[in-house]
Amino acid sequence: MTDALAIQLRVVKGLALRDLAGQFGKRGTGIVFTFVTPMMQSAIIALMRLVAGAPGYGGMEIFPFTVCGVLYFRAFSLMNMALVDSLNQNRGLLYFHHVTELDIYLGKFVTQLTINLTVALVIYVAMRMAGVAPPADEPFFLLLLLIAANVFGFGFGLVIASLSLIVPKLQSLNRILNRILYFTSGIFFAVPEVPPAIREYLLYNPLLSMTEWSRSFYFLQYQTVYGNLYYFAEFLVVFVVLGLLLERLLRDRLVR
Amino acid sequence: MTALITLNRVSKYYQVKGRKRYILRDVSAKMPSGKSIGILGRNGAGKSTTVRLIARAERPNKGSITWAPGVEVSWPMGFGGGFLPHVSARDNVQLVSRIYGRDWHAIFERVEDFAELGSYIDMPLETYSSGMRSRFNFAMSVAMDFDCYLFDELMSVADVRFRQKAEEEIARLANRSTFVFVSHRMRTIQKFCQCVYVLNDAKLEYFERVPDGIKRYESL
Repeated sequence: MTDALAIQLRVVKGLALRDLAGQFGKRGTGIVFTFVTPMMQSAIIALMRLVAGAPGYGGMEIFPFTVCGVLYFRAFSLMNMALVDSLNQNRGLLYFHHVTELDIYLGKFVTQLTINLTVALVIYVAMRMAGVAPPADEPFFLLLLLIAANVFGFGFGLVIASLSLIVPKLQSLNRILNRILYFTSGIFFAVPEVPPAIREYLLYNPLLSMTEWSRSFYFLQYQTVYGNLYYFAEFLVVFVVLGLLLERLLRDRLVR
Repeated sequence: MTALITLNRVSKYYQVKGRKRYILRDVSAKMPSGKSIGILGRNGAGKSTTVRLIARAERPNKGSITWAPGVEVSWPMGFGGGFLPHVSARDNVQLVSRIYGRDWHAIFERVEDFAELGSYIDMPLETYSSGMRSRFNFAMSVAMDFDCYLFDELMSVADVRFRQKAEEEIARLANRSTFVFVSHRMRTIQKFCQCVYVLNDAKLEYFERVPDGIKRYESL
């Protein structure tokens, strides 16, 4: 291993631990909310569907149905938001000369990935213990897809964070875009439930394919017809590559 | 002359109301190794920015700044922006030591001994008074061994006794390290520096002898 890589790994590890301490520190409430928020969100959406007379689609139990939607979208969204804010919140770290902008992003990625995976695991175990969900049919692929959702969030966040050095308003637009994606990524519905005229447009959203496949991996009896994993993977690769390129090209624009 | 820090055609500017305000314009300099360097200039000339550029905390718009191979340069002394306010001094020492790959126990012992924070050492930094914060920032900086320390007058909030202690520590460090000083106190420059740069009109002017540099600064 080269010295530079060893230093980078050490720095990223240090930053990730610092970030975890910063997020949770001595405040236990931070940890509680991290787990309670997605559970509450899933429960509310499940309740809304039940009230509307639409329990889980195609034989899927309602709670894991909504949990899949919420957790995968949150993985993407929280990672994206965390990345976009990370440089603003951690500019002071650049005074430690081993630390580069990319290290700050990578440290944030490691922290948020750890949180997102832990939250998913805890919620899965809680659902199983409460008896509201069957065992997942393809847990390995569910895990891979969850990591992919985080990586997509990383790439997307990196693109926005880098471009916002030139156009600061992009950060506000990103928040609006996230809100739109929240309602169009299949958290509330399965694709076949949507009228064809709307479905055609919704399917342009790669996160909708991600949500569909998360449900297909959880319930083998639900084979998604509309979710396209390749389409999602193409977006993921393009955004990660573009994000890394833009970060390199635009980092000099940062006024610290 | 071996260079500790090399500035190669460095330009740094900020956009102010649509116009470029230059801090450094096409500046080349070889800051000598083995000597402590003073940087003088009027208020607003860009001395602090220059120190941040040297610390690599800020990038030039053009040109490059390099350190001699293997040389470790500190962050600007007394700077605390990288510390987490809601965790304790102990945890901050641990976190920063990790980034630098140092033994945090050894660093912590030195910080605890030097900063004199008592039981506050385990309290979040946000509960510290400005003086305590200043003592911690300074202690943290000197507890890490660097080949070159950067000073940007930030000790103003510490009390007289601590300032004196800090000066003694700087004198001790001078036996094994060099400094880059930004200070308006000529006594400090005269005491610790062996050469001077004067920053004026986005240019750095080098003076081999400190009194000559001070004279030039006073004529600005």
